[in-house]
Amino acid sequence: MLSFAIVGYDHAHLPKYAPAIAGHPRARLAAVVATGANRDLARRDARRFGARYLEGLGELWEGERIGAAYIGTPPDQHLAVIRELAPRGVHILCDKPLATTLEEADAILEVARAHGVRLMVPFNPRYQVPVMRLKALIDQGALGTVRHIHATKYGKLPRGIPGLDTGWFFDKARAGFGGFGDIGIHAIDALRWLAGAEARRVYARIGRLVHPDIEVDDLGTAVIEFDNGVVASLESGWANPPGNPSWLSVSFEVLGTAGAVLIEKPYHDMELADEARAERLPWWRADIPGLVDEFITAVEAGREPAITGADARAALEITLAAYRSGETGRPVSLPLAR
Amino acid sequence: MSEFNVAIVGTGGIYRLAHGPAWRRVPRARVIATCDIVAERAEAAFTRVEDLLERDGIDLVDICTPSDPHAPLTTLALAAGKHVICEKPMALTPTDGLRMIQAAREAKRHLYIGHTRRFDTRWAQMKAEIAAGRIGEPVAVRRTERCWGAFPRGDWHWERARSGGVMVDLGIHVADLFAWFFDAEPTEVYAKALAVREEARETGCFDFGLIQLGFPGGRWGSMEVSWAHPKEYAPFYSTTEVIGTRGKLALSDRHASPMTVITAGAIGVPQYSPLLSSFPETFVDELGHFLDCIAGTASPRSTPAQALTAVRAIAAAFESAASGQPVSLDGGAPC
Repeated sequence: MLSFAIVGYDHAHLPKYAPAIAGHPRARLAAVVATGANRDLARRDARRFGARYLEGLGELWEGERIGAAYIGTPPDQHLAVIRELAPRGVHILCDKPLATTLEEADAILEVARAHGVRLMVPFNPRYQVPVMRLKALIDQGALGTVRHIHATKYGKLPRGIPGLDTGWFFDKARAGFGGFGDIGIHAIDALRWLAGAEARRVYARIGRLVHPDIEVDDLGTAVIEFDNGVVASLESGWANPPGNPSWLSVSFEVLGTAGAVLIEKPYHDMELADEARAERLPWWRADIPGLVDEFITAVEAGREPAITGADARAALEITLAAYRSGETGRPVSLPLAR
Repeated sequence: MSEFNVAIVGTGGIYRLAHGPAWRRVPRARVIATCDIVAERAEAAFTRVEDLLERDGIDLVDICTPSDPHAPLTTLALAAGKHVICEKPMALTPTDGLRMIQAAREAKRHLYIGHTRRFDTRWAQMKAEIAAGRIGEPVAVRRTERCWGAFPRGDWHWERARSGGVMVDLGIHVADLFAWFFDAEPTEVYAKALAVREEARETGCFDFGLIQLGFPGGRWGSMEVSWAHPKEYAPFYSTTEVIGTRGKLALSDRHASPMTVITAGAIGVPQYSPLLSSFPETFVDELGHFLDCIAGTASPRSTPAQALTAVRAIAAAFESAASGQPVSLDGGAPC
């Protein structure tokens, strides 16, 4: 059994990770460390899953040995937390983005390497059923040579969620970037994965267009060119209005020389309508359990997880390049200069 | 002017599929002469436009040729004192487009460009919802227009110098639609163009394009236009998504139909027009509206200046695709 700690309860989706970890047949949720916001929620989940509830990392080493940690702090704290955990042999499942800068990301990769711990970042699309099917079709050559991949990833503004403090999302120093990157980095990882290549050029337009009262960007569009000739386009941001029937809108659209694939939503869902609104309810979401299972399996097998620290660094680099392009109005070549 | 005598120049695809059937349903209009350089086309009574223009009684010339001669034919017809309706694209270059506007001004005759999207029920309603403020201020639009370009090898569509490829053929519609939805002119263009199909690679014609148009206030339109989507996918599918400050408006042809048809080996939604990108009524409304404009009873829903804006945007897209850099359109329209 792998004993997990959750460190940081700042992410809106933490309540989905706790049951996935606690419910895994070869893992147990041993501790929840609320280092920042959402302590009530963290305490509730700790009680629910029989885990210790802590408010500092220091106490974590007093109880049973922790083998792995899910890090759900704001990204500007990732490096500091990993510097505490990795020397004690704790394997790291770290929420995205890996860091707010490439320097921090490199330091995280180095710390994990030096202490021989596994590092994975859970990018959801990799374990969304339709996207997995799409990847398999591409790899089987069913679409011929892939020429273009489009991704749209819109979410609602992560604010005003009952019981959740998400203030850090609107602080660039803590989050690294606003809505385009927050939600888009998932799609950027997926585009790179589906293309099976490294990005060499990015052009983007990014702005605060939808929500005039926030401090960070909320919408962006990008064209990404990969070194195998695949061209990708991306629309991303906090563009879904409060009345959208689902939190997320996701599409992946691929054109190959021998076929095309359209994915128009991330999950298998049903529609529920009541007096006030309609809602799409997933009845099959393989992503979070799938990501958690892959991480646990990789740790047990002593192999690299399917999504590595290097993958997470690459997604961050493309995202940062998009922001640089958005600021300068020019295409940006990759790799970014150190 | 209560009755219009119409002469057609070019009796190929768009005339047979759209303008011909539409003219028969437009009140007060009568097609009295046709002209085509292909003499065998039975309907074509003239093979030289100069001869056609000498025929008495023509009020209006409708130009339905391939794109490359739009400008010379339009200027000839205007100089002969005829009003002109010209299929889109207005022209392949901004210089030619500007020439057409100047020719109309000098001849004191009306000129209209067939930007059919503005007359299609679907996009007209989207525009109306936006204009009514239903989604607040529109800030970003993404539109795809995808099909299997069903043109045989050797057809003019595959010749970049004649058609401009998909970036012009479909892109001009989308560029115009973005400007219409935002009620603004684009200021910057960035584009990536691909030749996906063999027909395109053979001739150096683009059959796939990604074009971003920047608009004032940091807004943008992102388009994907394609002739390269497998023919089993659909004759033509478009999607449109408009992000606004208070909502979003989306329409996909695949989901807009209340009907799905399943037959052996195929599944799809019905297409309602022989010209699959438009409703059949679109061309009747468009051509009838232009007659009303000439008669002075309506003001144009689509102007040559707007058509020129789309030409300039797409010309800039070619420039951007070639240089890999964004191209500025600052300075506004040259007219």
